[in-house]
Amino acid sequence: MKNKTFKIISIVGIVLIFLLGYALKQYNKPHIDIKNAEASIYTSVHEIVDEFQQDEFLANKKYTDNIIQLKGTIFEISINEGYSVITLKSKNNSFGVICNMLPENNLDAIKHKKGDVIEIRGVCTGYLLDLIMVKCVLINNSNNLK
Amino acid sequence: MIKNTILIITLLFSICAFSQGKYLTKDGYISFFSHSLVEDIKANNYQVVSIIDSETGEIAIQLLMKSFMFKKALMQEHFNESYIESHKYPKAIFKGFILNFNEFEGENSNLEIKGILSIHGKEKEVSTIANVVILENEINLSGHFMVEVADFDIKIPMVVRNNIAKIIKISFELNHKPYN
Repeated sequence: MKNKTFKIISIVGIVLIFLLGYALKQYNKPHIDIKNAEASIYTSVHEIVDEFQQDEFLANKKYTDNIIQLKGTIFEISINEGYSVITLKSKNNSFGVICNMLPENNLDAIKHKKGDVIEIRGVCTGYLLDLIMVKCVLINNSNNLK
Repeated sequence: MIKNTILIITLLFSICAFSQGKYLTKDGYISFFSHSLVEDIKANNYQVVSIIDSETGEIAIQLLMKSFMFKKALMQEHFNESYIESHKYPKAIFKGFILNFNEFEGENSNLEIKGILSIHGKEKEVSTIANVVILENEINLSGHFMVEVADFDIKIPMVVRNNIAKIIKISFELNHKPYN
């Protein structure tokens, strides 16, 4: 009888420890590592802005919360609260994509200048006056913007 | 005579320096803070769009809920998926007026901002006293106000009810430049 009780208590204890461990792991799970993550959509500034302007609802469903890798021309580089911000614009559109870079990309960001064609990967959070991307990282230089 | 001339030039400069029209920021800052016995939760949003019509004092602010960044990934996930339902209500919007904006004197003053705040598909009238700074080609607003979670029909599950405050502090810092 004692053995049976001991077994039940042991099993319940192990399950509780497992559940607690799982809960703690979930509570402390890290943010997505954009630098090493694979983009789910590859596009250009022109294409993505165009889609948001045509149908924001549909474009939100397609892009928001996804990791996007896009190619575009630098319109402006600025600093906001310690984060570098790169604004990309396409030739045919007055609106663009505001990319809020991860702090570790600050040095790489300021090496660039207006007019440079770059590729950026980040998370799309939606569209205000421009498309907003957060947690962005620079991929590499490219001179082949289509 | 010289003193009067300096005074007139100073006055003229101060009138010319602040041009009437629309003022805009695309990188305004809004945060919210929840304090409870279990934990403190803070989220920052550095991509706030705000526009002021300096002729009327009208102000419109818009932000994306998904642009709020939390320290913990799980909190951010719950905030967007379960509480705010960002996929259904992606934006928070405030439309209102800076009261007595045209009677503004000097560079720095505390003025009341009053308007309608829309979050999670629900609207609520809010008002707060903001610190308003008008410089050459700049209108800067900063301050904070409190909102009740229940006013916006945000349902917090029983299991985490003690982790989230019923009243949340919203802080803002919006530095506007002339919009051409």
